[in-house]
Amino acid sequence: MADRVELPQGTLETLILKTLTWGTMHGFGIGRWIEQASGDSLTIEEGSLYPALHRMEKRGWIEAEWRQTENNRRGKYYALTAEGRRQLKTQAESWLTIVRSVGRVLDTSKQPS
Amino acid sequence: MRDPSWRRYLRFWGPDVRSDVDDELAFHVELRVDQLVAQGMDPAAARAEAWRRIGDADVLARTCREIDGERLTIERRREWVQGTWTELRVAARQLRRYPVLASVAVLTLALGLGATTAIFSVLYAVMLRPLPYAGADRMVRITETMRGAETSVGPGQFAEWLTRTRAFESVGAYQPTTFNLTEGTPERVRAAFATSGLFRARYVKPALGRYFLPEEDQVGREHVVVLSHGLFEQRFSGDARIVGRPISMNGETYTVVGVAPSEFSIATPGDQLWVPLALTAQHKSTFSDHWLTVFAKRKPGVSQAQAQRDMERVSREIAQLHPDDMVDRSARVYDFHDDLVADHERSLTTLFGAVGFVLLLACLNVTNLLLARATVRRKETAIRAALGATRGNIVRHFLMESIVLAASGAVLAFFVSRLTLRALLGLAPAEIPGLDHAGQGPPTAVFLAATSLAVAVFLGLLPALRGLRSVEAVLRMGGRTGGATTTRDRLRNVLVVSEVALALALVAGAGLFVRSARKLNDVDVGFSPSGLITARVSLASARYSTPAIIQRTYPEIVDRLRRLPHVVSASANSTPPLAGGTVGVDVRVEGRTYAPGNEPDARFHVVTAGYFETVRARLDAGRLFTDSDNGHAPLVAMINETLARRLWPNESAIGKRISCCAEGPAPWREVIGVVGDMRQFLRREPVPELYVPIEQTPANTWTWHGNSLAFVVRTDGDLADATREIRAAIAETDVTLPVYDALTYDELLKIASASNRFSTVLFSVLAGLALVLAAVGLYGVLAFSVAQRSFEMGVRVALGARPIDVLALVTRQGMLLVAAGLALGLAVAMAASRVMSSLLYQVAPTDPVTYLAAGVLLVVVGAVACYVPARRASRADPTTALRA
Repeated sequence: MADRVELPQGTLETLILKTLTWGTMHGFGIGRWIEQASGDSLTIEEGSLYPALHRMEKRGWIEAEWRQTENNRRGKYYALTAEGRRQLKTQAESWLTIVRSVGRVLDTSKQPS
Repeated sequence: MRDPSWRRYLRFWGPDVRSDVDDELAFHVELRVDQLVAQGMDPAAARAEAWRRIGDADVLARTCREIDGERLTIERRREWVQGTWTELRVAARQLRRYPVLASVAVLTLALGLGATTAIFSVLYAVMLRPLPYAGADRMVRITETMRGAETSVGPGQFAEWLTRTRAFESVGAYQPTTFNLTEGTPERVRAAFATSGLFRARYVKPALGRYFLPEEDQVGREHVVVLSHGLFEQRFSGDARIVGRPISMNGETYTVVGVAPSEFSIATPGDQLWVPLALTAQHKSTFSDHWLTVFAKRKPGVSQAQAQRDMERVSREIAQLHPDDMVDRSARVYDFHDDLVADHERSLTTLFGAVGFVLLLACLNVTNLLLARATVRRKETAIRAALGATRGNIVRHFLMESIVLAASGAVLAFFVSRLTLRALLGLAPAEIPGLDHAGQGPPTAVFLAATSLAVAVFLGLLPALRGLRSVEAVLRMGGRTGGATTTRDRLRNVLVVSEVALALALVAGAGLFVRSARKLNDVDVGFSPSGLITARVSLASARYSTPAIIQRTYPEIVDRLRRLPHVVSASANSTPPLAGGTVGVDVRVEGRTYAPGNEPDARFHVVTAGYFETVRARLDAGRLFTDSDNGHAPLVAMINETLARRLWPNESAIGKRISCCAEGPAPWREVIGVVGDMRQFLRREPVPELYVPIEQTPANTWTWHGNSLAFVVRTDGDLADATREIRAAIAETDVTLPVYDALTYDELLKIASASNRFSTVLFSVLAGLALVLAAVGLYGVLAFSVAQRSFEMGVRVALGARPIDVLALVTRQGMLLVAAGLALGLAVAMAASRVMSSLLYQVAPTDPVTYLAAGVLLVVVGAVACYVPARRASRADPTTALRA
């Protein structure tokens, strides 16, 4: 397993939104998918995942539904709302802008004049 | 750790936050266990590892539950707003489906709300509006009292008050007067003498210049003037350069030092200019003459009661210095604002109460309509309930309907109140202070909004409760509508009874005012007013510097007036009857002494020969004044019958000698005649009056009237023409003389009864409105009941009831309601009318004739309202009714 990385504030929500673009998913699946997609460099703690999910549900970015799984268990599944889609777009854009800008600065070899 | 599984069934009634979160975490653990087992872990170890990863599950669950709780609150709120909005639209749509019912309801509410709002705006302007200067609530008026009765203030007392009082930050004296403004065309202006302290007490920044300086309160410095904003605009065309310039008043020169802002007034609005009140040393040592009005401002923190005690202490101190002048005298402090509106407070609050009755009546009527609808819609309500509407939903549904009605009514009421207000202001007696501020200001808007909201709740509540109750009833009955359900009708009956009661109270109130007006109309004023004109002139300029000139000039003008065409006779009186204003004097009787405080007094008149013939007064004894009662003849006086009775109850007054009003030792004058009482004020009983011929009046009496006299002329021609000719004739004598207060006696009588007419007209309109509303309410209930009982009526007719029997049945039902309403209304009216007694003239508030007439009127109106539905019921066709 690679080194653990602390997620900056609010980033988890962006990742959850991104995850849900693939379709409805339960909390466990969302966590797993993010970890795998990050090449296991990210660890998603239950202690932050579930509050984030509930907060996003409150804000109306995602909606929840109880479903029966094939193993006959009842699970809570989350899906993106239209508002969630809009949120993902703006959050992803600003995230990429930050990453690019910070990266550009860090990569600069020119000395300040 | 886990809740019992039955908890999840709670979700059937709505989301269950608690078990949701627990279930979600348990599900998460199961999936993790699956994952770990698949990786080869032992199931028991896997479960432990899964819970370990979650960490403190309780904390996590609590966090999530809190967030969910917030979410549910937000969702519920949003749902409520959306639901309410939907209900509002549904209510509006449903009301549109019943246009007649909706428009009757909206119109009724608009009338009630509009009238109430209009009266409120008047009430606010006159009674509640704060005065426009700081510390207005500390303003007081101080009077002297004589054995408890209020009197004006003596200049000596006032001078002592200035130095001795401790409760006030300023004390000022005021004396209304008039001036001949002789700058350009002569004009008589209303003015007042005022000490500089009055301007300091009610400080509003002057529009231009300044107010008086303290040193201008003394003789020699007092020829300065502050103009009112109105006079400044009209007379000096708003030219600021007037400040500092001299103007000519009463033939003397005054310097304009300032212009007051437009709303400024000291006592009552209407003063056109102010001149300093300069008291001479002689004034300040005079304690026996009382002619000043005194205003003061309490120091902050000094209560009204403390101020009163302070004045009583000062009065005792003055009494020690001047015991003879202070017998039975003290002082009283009145709140300025209360005092100002005291005369109108009663009539306005009564009016407000009456219009409140009308609004209540309107609400009862609309409630009745809505209740009828709620009854018809019981099935619909029950279905809503069966489909899962909560009690709150059902109440909301009914409230929305009443909110739509009240809001539409309020919008219309805005316009109704504007029209009503315009009509009110046209009708209102002119002397009500602050009336010109009545309008559609923010306080009025707030009042209308708040009242409409209250009305909406009032209207919605009964139908909503009824709707709730009908849910169970209908479900039990299976939706069948049978005969009259007594409990259902009882409430509507109570409403109709209340309506009749309110209507009776209002009709009786109007009746009392009408009776009052007739009594006022029938008052014997003691003279013949038709064809009489009065017009006042003041010989105030330097041209008329001595009493001798004045006493010669007035008879000359009277002679000139006599020669005018259509003038039957002409004369003059210093204070003619019904024209406002009096001067009181102490009367001494030769050979008699009266105990202090029991001296007879009378109202004093200076008249020309021919005055009593002109007004056609009744001569009871002796003779009238003639031209030979002049300055060289023995002094004479005439008195009215009330004074004669007061002084000589058992003997003839003729030939007795009395004196009055002269400064220094008074010469006796012989009483030569007694005339019948004439009303100086329409609504007050006659009081003693004393008449002196113009050429024999003591010189000092001229200052009492500002050298003025009112001509009283009887004409047999057109009154307007005659008034014009009188003005022209006076101008021929002296073009600089302004003629003022020119009025016919018809107009004076109208002014004297204006406030009564105001109340009478308004009460009659309100009573008419109440009658219509009550009749509509009664009709509505009976018509609805007849429609509901058509089956029963059909059965009755089928069983042999004649149409007349059915007619009687329905009519009896209606008239029983009327009778109950009358009984209740009588009690209400008797209790409520007591507050009106001071507004009535010679009619008791419990006048039986009025109540009887009002009751009969309501019975007649009630019978008409019953007849229509009763006749419809009597024509019931049994076959249709039974088949339906």
